[in-house]
Amino acid sequence: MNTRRQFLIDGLRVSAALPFLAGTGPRLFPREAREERVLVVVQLTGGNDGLNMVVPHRQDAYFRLRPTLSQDPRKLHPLDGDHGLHPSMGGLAELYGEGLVAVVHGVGYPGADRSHFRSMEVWHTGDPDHPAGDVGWLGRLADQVAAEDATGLPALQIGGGSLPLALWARSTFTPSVRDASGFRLEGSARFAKARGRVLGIERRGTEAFLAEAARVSYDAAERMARSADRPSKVEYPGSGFARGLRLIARLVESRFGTRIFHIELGGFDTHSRQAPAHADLLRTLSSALTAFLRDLEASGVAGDVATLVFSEFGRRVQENGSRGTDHGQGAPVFVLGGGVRGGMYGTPPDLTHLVEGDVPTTTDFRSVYAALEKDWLGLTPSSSLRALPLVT
Amino acid sequence: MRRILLPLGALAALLLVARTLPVAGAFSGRTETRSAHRAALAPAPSPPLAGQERELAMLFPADSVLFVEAPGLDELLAEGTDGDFVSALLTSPLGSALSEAGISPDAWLSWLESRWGRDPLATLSALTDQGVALALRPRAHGQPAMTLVLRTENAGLLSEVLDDAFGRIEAKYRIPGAFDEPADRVLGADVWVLGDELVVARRGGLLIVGNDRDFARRSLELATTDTPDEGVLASNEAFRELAAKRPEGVLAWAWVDLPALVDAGAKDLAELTELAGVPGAQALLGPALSGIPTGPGLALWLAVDGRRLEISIEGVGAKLPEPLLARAEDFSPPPAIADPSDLAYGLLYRDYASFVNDRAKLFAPELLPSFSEPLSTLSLFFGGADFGEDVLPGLSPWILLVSRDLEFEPGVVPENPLPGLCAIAELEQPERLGPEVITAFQTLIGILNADRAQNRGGMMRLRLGLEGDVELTSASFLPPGPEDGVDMRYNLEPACAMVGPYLVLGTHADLVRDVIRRLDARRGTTGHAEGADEFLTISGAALLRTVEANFETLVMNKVLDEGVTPEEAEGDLNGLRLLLESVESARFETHAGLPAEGRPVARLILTLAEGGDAR
Amino acid sequence: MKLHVLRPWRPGRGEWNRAAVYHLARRAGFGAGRAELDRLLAGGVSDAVDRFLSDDAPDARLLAGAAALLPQGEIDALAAWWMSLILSGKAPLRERIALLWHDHFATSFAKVKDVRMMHRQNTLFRERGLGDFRELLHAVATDPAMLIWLDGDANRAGTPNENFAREVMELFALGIGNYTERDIQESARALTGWGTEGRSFRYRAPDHDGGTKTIFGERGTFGGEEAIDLILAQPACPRHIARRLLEEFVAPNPRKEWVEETAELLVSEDWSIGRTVEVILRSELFFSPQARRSRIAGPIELVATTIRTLGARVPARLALEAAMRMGQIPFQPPSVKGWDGMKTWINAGAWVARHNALWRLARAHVEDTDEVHLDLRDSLGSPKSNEDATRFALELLTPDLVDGAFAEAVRESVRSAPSLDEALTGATALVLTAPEYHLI
Repeated sequence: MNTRRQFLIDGLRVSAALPFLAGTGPRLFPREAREERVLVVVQLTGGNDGLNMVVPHRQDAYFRLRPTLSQDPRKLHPLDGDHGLHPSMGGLAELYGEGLVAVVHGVGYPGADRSHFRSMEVWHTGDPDHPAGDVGWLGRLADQVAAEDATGLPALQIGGGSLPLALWARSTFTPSVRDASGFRLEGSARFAKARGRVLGIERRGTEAFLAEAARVSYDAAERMARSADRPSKVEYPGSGFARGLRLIARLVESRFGTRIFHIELGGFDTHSRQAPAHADLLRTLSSALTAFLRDLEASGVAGDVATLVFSEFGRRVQENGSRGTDHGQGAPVFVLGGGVRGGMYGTPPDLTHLVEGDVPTTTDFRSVYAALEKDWLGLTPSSSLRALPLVT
Repeated sequence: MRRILLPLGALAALLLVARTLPVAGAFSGRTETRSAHRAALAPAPSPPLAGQERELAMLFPADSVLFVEAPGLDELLAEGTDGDFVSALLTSPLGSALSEAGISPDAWLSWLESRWGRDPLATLSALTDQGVALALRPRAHGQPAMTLVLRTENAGLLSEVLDDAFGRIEAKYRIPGAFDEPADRVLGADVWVLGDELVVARRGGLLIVGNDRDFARRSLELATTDTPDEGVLASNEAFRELAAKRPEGVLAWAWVDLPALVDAGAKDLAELTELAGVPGAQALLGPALSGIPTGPGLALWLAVDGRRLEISIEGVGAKLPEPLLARAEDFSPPPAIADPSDLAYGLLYRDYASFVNDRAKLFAPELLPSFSEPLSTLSLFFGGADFGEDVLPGLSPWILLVSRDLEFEPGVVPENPLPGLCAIAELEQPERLGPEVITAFQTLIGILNADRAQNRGGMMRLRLGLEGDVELTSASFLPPGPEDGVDMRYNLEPACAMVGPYLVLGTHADLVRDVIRRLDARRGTTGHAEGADEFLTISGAALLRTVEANFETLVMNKVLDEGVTPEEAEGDLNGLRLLLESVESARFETHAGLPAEGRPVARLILTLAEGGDAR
Repeated sequence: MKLHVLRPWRPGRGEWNRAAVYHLARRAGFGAGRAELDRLLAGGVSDAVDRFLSDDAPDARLLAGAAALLPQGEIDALAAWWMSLILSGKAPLRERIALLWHDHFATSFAKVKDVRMMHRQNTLFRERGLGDFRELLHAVATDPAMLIWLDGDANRAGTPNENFAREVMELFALGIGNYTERDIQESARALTGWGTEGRSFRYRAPDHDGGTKTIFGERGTFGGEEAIDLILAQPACPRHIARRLLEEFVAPNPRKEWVEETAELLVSEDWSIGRTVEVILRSELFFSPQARRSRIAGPIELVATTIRTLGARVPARLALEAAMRMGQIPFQPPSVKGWDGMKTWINAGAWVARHNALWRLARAHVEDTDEVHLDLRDSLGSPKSNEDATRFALELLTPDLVDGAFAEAVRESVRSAPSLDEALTGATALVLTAPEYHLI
């Protein structure tokens, strides 16, 4: 038993390098429950093999270049005439059939670097030219949200661990929460009552500001605890990833107020014996996402949530000698949600015109970001690229 | 476990209640009254008491989940502080230091004797001469039921001591006369009851004490009935198997029905029984050790022999994982190269090839994806060869470990010197696999350098050297400047070499060179024990050297972690030093009769350092 | 020189009270327990200030203990070590000043990436932080950690790097608007050739731009040291430093007159920070209502003053973790501006962190943990009743609020506590988590 954690908040972690630059005095609004759109970012860490996820099964080159890894076309879930989803992804195929999924082909960044760290930095900062920054694209969005209301929690990292670069911000504090217990207020109900009484007296000036901040925080913590404890309307699979999505669904449903969520699923760096591992991972991904979307539908908030699923790069078309694949470039990205215009976007991969043996980047990731930043969340985008028409 | 120890402690306190009360003499009048009183009771006809032939294990019902017997207790008590082990303990540096601080058994015993009016050790030895045992059984509510059974030839002494004890309780709780009369007479035994929780029964030289009347009564029945009953612990199969293998001359012996304990609510123990299915635990502990808690029964025993203390655990019916044991005979263990100056020396059996390749058979499905990424990464180091299928099977499951203090080159002696660690295993196709492993090692260093370049950590330079005829690849950090201080990382100078069929991989080139020389000359002892499959021996003196070399760092870390003052931290660490000075070695062994026999045994042997001055 | 707001405070009857002593202890140091506060109170204001100014040394054993930790290369160990010095209560003003300069000359391990260099900089602040500011600025400007942090070591003739020069002027010495871009560029030229080798400062003559520069209207073939002297000679410099001292010891947004007076004082005292702080600590301004509880406590000072005021025994690492979760990590300020403090300390996550850490600390009185020891009966002066518990807690923790709505609310909540220990814990927890307590 870890007595240190007993002393402090269980599971609440602060990234060691949180920057805290100037805030010009932010205005204080009491938190109202408003209809607000939420962005959930799912990061597949390791470089997901997009070609085996969205399979271009009508191209001979696919079978020729992947003698052991190619999927049996009869087992795929058809998306359109030319592409099918990996056999493990039945749930996602259903959602696609209902128009809830946008598939964007060949997403990447120019000047592809096949290093995990470099590529992740690019995706996280949204800046291929200066990726080694200290502010992430989601952090920038969080700062904008906070400029309107400083005391809420604009963003949350679900899953514990250190804060990813994407969420580093200039003036916002993004906690990383492993599970619902992570934001709990300590203290008995009796103490909460006493605390409320003390908080309720009249104050002025800075003390009033602090009291308001305290009220908002306690409120947020209590709502988080209540939300997390509510039963979900659908069954979620048993994975940690699914549990994280379930927590997000509860928070969205209860109008918690956080607008940006980030969650990871790792293990995609399949250099050898890819088939079984990748199948497991895609199954985990698809079943969890399906449960998540059905849960949001049942709660009536599916139209308010857009979920982005991306990975730092795709993988080579030709399989390697260990029945796996090595790092590649462009790969498909999913955007799911009730407010999404389902369908295919971008240029489908043409395996007869590869670049250095890879599916090239045909869509700049920043145009996907722009759609989510500007069209979906209504905030200032991180680049000036034109947004893909992914959302309503 | 705490729930077992507390009632045990309470019972022990009851038996030694003399501690706080005035001498028995004042109550002798009372005692006489009681004895006279009892004599006046007409003895009712009752079944005879079973004798020595009925072993203690037959005096407890079969649904006991824990059984502890101390067959060697009376001898140990009779020896008192003269016994080899106890006297070695008392004259050890730790014992001497405690004694100087006023904590010594002699002083306690004298004090006890003066209070009690009897020689404590002799009395207890006499009372336990026919054995003492304890059993535990879970109850629906509250603490588990416990019964202690004691048998002695000295019935008169038992009667006196019991009267004594009752007298003191009466005085302490101001309930005079409460124990004059037994509350009941059952099967020829006098039964006293204290509140709801304590029941005491005595018949002749048999004493039964417990916190549950039913449980205690059952023991009484079993002790007095003629015909053996089926429902006794001794007839439990798992128990019988383990009891049959109980070694001679043990001090204490315990049996645990782990699954039943878990069912009764000991949640922490549930994790223990499932260890074998946790990849990390399996990789670290190996099949024998992780297999011990998996069967229906577990035995633990304690034995003392000269300066040695042995604690052993044996599992019965353990489900040892077959895939992990299949290759035990395909390879023979590496040669013996132990040296007395080693800090640690050991041989482990870890079949990582089967661990990886048969993982679907060993671990639950949801745990399998976590293997993919590390395997993929490791495959990279081997030029894309499948790490699990091409590399691991060529590695012997027998891994030798050597650790000792290092000789550092001048200028790179770390301010926190740590011992080095080296692993040796046999490769099946050394001509093919050897160079691949060495190349992988070099690649790893290169990648680490690239990573460190981002962090100003300093890079390592690869070097090729020769030790005799053997080529040695090592990597070292560039030496620090004269003013720079030598950081902890200078403890690391990883090195790798092939000596014949043996792969040698170590944290420091100095140690690897030493091992190469030992292998070459076939020099050294086995360090093996009879029949042990795996073992690990740690030298107290060598560990002490490491503690002393890093003493101030340990002090400061303690200050920061525990909030104590530097002086207090020093005090604690000095205690550790004394302990290490007092222990010659600690040795850990497993005997599983690999490949499996389903009867894994693990043993810890503590050997005290060779004696101090005579007391 | 004639002092106005900085003239020594002569407390009227009843003004040298618990609240005043508490204010002094929390600002000049990191708080003090009840017994020590009583002692200070008994001695009078002059002696009390003397206590903080006395040149008592930091705990020698702890100070030397850093050497045993540096080889590990872990910055958290060094941060915990500094916290242990703060918690020891020795040489409190030195530690306060060290923290002040660490914030002012903010340098982060995140870029320096070397624990020994951070330790050396910390030692510089501790040993020379109360000395002549001019010497301090020179020392900091040549501190290897600072040079790496501000790219001062990449500043070469022909390709001057302005970062270092800019921050020295904007943040360390003059403040925005008191220099021109030209001054920066020319100063950057003067500072060329400065660099590091390993962990030491190294001057490389070939990299130095030896040409003539014009800085603040002065012409000359200035080197780095002379450039800094020119910066120090600007009238904006003492004002900038005076302002910083007032923000720390008096209140945020100090009035112009106060800044002027303090700047004049600083110069008249030969730039001695120690003597200037001494005058401030004795002054009317320091003890005025505007100074009391005028700023929001930062995490390190909040954690440290709470532990010391309650006389709790808390391992340094735990205290450090609490401060980190509240958003302040020693040796890793978010940027060269340091910690902006005030309202930026407060947001939902940080407030929950404050609440939970302080609640846990108060609970240590009734809930046994291996690591934290707290006996509120000792800390508060052996209260005998629930009513006492409240009164003593308020007297110790918010001595200027023993009457009034706040006190009444606490009293009301604790009245029906089932036992004295629960009352003690409850009263303490309520006060510690109340907004009032977070103003220092």
